[in-house]
Amino acid sequence: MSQVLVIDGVSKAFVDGNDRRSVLESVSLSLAPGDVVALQGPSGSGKTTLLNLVAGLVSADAGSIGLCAGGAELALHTLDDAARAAVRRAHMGYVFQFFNLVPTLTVRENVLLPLELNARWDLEERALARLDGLGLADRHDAFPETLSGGERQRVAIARALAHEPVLVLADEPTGNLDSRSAAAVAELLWQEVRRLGGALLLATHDDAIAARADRVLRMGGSSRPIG
Amino acid sequence: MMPAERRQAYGVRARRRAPLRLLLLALLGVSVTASAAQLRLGSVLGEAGDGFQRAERPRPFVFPEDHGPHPGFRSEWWYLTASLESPTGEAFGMQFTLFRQALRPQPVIGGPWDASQVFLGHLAVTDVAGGRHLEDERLSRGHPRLAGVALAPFNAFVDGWRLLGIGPGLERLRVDAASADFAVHLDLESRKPLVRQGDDGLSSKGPGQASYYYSLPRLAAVGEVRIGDKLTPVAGTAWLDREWSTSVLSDAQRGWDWFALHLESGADLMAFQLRRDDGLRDPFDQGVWVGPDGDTWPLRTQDFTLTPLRWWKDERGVAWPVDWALAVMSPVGPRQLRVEAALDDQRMDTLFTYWEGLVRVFDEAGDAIGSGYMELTGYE
Amino acid sequence: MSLLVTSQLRFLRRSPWSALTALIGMALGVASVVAVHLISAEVERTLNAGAPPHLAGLTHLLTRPDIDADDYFALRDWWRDHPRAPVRGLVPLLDGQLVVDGRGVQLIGADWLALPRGTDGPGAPLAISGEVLVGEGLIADADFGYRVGDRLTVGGRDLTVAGVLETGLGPALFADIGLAQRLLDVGPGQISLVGLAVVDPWAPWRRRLDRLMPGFGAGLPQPGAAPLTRLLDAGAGSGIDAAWRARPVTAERPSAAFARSVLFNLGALGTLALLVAWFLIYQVGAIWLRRQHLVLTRLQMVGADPRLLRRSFLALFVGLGLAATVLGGLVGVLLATLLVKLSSAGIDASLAVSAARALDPWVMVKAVGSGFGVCLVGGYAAFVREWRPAAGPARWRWLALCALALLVLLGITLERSGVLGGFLAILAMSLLAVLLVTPLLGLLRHAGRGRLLTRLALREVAWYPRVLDVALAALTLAVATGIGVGLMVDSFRSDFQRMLDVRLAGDLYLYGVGDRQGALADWLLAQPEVAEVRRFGEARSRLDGVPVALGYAEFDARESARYGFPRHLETGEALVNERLLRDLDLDVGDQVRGARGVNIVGAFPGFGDPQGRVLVDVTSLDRFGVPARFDRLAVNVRAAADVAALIGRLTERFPALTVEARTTIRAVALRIFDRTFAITRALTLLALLVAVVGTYNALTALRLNQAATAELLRAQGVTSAESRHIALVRAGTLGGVAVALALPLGIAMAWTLCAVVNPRSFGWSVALQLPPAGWLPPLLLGIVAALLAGLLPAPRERGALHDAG
Repeated sequence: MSQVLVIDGVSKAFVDGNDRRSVLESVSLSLAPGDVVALQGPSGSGKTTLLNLVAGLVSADAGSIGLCAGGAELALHTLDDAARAAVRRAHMGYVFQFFNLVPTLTVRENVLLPLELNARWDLEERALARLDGLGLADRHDAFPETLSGGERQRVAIARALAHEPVLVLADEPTGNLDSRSAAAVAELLWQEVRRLGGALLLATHDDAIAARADRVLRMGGSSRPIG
Repeated sequence: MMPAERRQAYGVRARRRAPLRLLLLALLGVSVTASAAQLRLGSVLGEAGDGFQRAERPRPFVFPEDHGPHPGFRSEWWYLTASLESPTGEAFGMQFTLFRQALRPQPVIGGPWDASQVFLGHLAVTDVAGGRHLEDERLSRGHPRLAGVALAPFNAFVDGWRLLGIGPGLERLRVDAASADFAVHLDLESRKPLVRQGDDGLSSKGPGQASYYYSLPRLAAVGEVRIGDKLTPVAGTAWLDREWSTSVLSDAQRGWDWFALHLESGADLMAFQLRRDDGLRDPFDQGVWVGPDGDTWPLRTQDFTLTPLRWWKDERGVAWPVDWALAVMSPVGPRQLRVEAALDDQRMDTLFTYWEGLVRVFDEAGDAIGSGYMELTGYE
Repeated sequence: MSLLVTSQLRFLRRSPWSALTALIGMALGVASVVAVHLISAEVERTLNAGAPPHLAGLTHLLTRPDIDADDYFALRDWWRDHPRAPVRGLVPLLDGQLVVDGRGVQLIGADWLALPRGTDGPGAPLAISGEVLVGEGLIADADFGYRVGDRLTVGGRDLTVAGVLETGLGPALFADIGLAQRLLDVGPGQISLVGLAVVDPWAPWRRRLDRLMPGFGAGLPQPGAAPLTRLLDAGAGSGIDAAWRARPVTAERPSAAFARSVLFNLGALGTLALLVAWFLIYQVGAIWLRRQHLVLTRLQMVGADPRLLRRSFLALFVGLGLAATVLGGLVGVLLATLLVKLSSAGIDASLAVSAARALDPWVMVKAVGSGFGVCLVGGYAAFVREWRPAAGPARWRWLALCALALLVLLGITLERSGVLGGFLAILAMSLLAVLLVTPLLGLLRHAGRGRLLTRLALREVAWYPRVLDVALAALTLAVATGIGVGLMVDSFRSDFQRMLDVRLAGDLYLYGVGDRQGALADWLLAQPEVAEVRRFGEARSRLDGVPVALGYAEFDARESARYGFPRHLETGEALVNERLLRDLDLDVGDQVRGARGVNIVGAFPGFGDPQGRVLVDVTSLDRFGVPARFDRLAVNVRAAADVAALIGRLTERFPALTVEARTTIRAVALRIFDRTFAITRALTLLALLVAVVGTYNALTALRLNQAATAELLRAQGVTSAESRHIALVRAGTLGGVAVALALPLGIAMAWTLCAVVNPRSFGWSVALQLPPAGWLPPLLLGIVAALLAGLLPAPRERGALHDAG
């Protein structure tokens, strides 16, 4: 198959005491290499949950999630925690809205962390070059607490792409930034993902950013995909 | 007046009940080390009448022998209290007591160490001007070199403290007793004849229970008192009690309030009341009035009343009645006396705790007419 | 206010695990305070209970040649004529040997009523049986095998056992002096010794300190011989002859004096355990507050008065503290019982925590003080510390470091600062180590080597000192205390054994030999069991006005070896104890002042010697102007000889002789020691247990602090094994830092105790030994404890700490 990611009929509900709240119901979606798909919808519509399902941080109640990476097709929904973690570290990058960086690691160390986890030191030069390209050439040894919000998100992008994953997941990556910085960071994310030939699945409130996506998946209060 | 005599005897014996019983505690408290060997009270006390002699009928006192110890009886004491004054008018009180307690009825045959008697000495001085009451005690086994009572000359001694007779009998005495903080040296001379208490010296307590008892109601005292480094010459009046017995009182009484007062008129007055558990007046409350010439008038329960007027609370929270109204039908007519402690704190903080101290006597008009000693027991 | 309380209570309900760990932490703190007190009190009780009754309250024993009762009475009369002499009591004592049921028995007679009364002395009141007072009963040592009420036939007399005591004297009987004279068949004038109690000016302080921490009072100076010397010197002018010689009662029971010194040291280290517990309570408060931080900041943001916030936090915290006090008090009693039982397993010890002891008001005061007081103060301090930004504490820290270092230096070097100085030094070095925790952690701040995950974990430890420093300090102190106790005890034990060997070179010791020593030695050598007889003598002398004991013997190489000296002593050569060197400010190689041409060629520790001691060959005696008069014999028996039979024949032939068998003395001494040593393990364990809880709490707080990072790492694909690795590195780092500080601190503590505090308080030094068995176990335990705390699962709780974001 030529798709990077295939989500088919995935459902997820959270149980809080006797209260069962359905967040996702029969969501289907597929991404090809180079695809940028934006998830839009009000708070609680299941955007983050969908990203976490794809990342394997939570497991789905029903449906399947398939990832095509490294020449293999991986059925994420059949894997256990450890195997999902292995898939995640090798083939995915994740950018959050907050707490993107490990505070006790420098900019450089944050970026190199995925390489260490994957033992892919061959990518070090490119990863650091990408960091420089993102305008952080002089901030390699800085700790995250000294960076501005925009800089932090740029480091997060560099970190998410360092091991050159096939799929990048971004959860409101610009939600924390003013509109100018947001636009710049989104632009960088786009460029870098495209340059690597990966796919990007991103959740955002920002219509301007969503408008630049190849497709927009609208998620409603009923948690049903709209688009 | 047989019943009155009997009651009087009962009461006089009763006021010594606590020292007698608490002397046993003194033995219990002998400080050695921790744990182990427990005192068996029975073996010290002997079971009731267990070989000890008993006071059952009046007997002629033979002096000087009867001034000495009667080891066949369980307990005995030589009890001296004095109200004193310095040449500049400062008041002092003095108490010297030697208690004897038999550990067994028969004398032990053996060496001098084998005495079966224990002696306890109490010494106290009240310095009214200095606001101080000092007390000390000494406990020792009977031993010719340590403690005992000898005759010819009379010598009641415990571990360095002495009540010495000068000449035959108790008519002339000397007290020599020193503690680290204070000392007493007094010469005493009896001014009145010896008073045989109760039925010619037999103090009946009840059916088959009695003690032998006599007093020297007034002795002139002169000598010196040392407190710290300060030596003060003093003179005054003293009271000496002698009593020996075997029986122990019932526990129906809580304690007693006892007074021995020397009046400037030359009369001496002794009165006490027993405090009963049921709060009622005890029919054995009584006293004795000794006229200036030595004549005696027994005081019956109905002849006097004692009413506490003021209490002093010690640091343990115990309230001691230190001021009293004493209404008494004396041979010279009814008197309304007021008796006030010269110092509130004259508590004897010794192996057993009681209050024994100098008091002042005032008449109806509020004039000072005498002084004496008061003993309060059973308040803890 | 009501909404504040509601928010606090809801926090409590929503974070039951936090509340529970806080409660457990505080309760354990209180429990350890209670347990340490109870354990120390128990050790002290057994030490006191082991005292021979005739020595109760006495400080010295007086002897003189040909002593008799008249000498005693003369002394007593003199005392009573001088009521201000610093004397509390004088007691005539008689001792001798009897054969009862075929066994040699020491019989001790005393005038029990003459023993000093009151609380001034070390003894507690004992009720001596009336039967003993009237001379019909005996008190028997527990070793003798009789029980109260048993009948006993001694010399044809039928007597009753009126009491049984554990006196530590082996087979011994105590009787009234009159009965003892009859049983030994001597006249009423015969006594052996006069027991003396001098006034102890330190008594009130001793009592206070002992209440504060049982065993502490032993560190205060013992009533010395100075008032006694003055007494005797003054007496010499008034008919008391100067031939009296005095020896301290402690010399009678060197093992007990030694054990007391150990107890004192334990008391000191118990205080450090107390410090650990207080750290823990404070830390629990700080961590708990941190978990509430978000709630509190939010409340402050909506305008709540910070004072009100502080009050509501304190109220909740102190409420928790009260619950912890009750729980901790109960657990403390159980813990003490359990630890005492565990540590005395296999020893026939009568250690048990009695209910009465547990209800001692001082235990209560300490428990409530720790639970309630430390909660209040600790909670407040935590609040203040948390609320204020950490503004430049560096200068303050350096100032404190310098001050503490100075205190350590002064406490150790200034001999005049006494025991207090020694302890201040120990306390100061402990606080010094505590202050070094944060800078040491700071070294890890830029850890730049190794795997990123390792680096990350190392830096986490370094970056959040506020979360960890108190726990780390507690762990450091606990491990250091363990090392200090371990080394001190090991050193004590090895010295103690050395002392026993020095003291007990003979199999039998005979005292009261008097003029018959020649005949006695001949008789002994004729016995088949006897291999060797050595003669000893002792005289009282003065050097430069300082009273010393002058011991003499035929000082061949074997005799010298007992004092660690390699060869025999020549005429004019002397060995002296350390105390003498200090008292006279002398050194080995110096001349003994006050004697003609006597050189000090060696020094020995002289454990239990409260006064100076000079040992010379008998040929040197004339240089001191002292005639030779041997009064003790040491007898060595042949292998497999029947010692009991020999003692039996000996006491039958020489009834007035005092015979002591080495095996008895040694066994009793070691038994007392094993009990005391056993307790040290309990104390160490307790401090470590408390520290583990503290470390767990701290690591949990750190983990919760780093929850966002953990989530991020998980998103990066970090596996649970890798997460465990991070946790282990954190915990291991904590353990490593604690151990790195604790090892030197523990050794320094042990050294200070052995070489500074002991010489000052007991007059002898203990040679510090550093066997791995002393320091390695606490070290390993510290690391294992930290790793264990790191591996224990963190509590799962809804985010009380951070925003869900």
